[in-house]
Amino acid sequence: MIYLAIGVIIGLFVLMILLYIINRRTPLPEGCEDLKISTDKCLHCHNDACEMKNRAKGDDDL
Amino acid sequence: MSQIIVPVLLALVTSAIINNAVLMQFLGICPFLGVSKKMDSSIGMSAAVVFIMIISSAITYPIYKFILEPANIGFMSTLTFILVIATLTQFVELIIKKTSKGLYKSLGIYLPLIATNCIILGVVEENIKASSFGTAMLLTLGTGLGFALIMILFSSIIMHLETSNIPKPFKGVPIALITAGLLALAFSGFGYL
Repeated sequence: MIYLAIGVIIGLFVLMILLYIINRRTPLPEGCEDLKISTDKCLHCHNDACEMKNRAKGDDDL
Repeated sequence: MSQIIVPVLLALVTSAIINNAVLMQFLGICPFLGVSKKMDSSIGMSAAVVFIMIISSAITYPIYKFILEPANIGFMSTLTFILVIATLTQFVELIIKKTSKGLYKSLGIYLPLIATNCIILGVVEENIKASSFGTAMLLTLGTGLGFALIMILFSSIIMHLETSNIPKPFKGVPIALITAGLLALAFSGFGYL
């Protein structure tokens, strides 16, 4: 049973990496390329690891 | 019939209102404060969170009950659940990208936020303690509805506050936090019903 559990965890990890890569390579739908993140929506958040916040911060600095 | 309906309603009301995840357990505060400035953003974020929450709960409950618990590695639940949520978020984003342009336009920018949203992990961690799969799903649905209710309620209050005459030091986040505190106080009253 322990091997099945470890297998499931490793399988999930591999699946996540694969989906991440496929997701990155999939082009955005037409007209969705310029979806903007509003700075006033994201800058209240304190999650510094959040990609959206960092992008909002970058837009704000510009 | 009432033997089924009453426990179902009780589970939904308890998890959505009495034991609300945002106001009572302080989960999902980031989208609560950050995304609740406009009604359409609140509805979009709530829909995305409820959707991911229900699917991740449906996957994590059997994984825990039939694989992790029998293997005696329940302590690995957090890591496994994070992987499930991250995988699911990527999968849902991919499917939406491929199939629905409209849905991607309204939910697309919120999907990466969900992977880092603690309310999803908090709910799946809490619901593995449920006695059955059905109960876990009901509690998840109730928590999701409670999150959506608070997001929509709070965004309408914030929209109203923006047109109000508020002293300068209280504008923005301070008044939002005071309002959230008052809202939490009001919701705690449901616990005495």
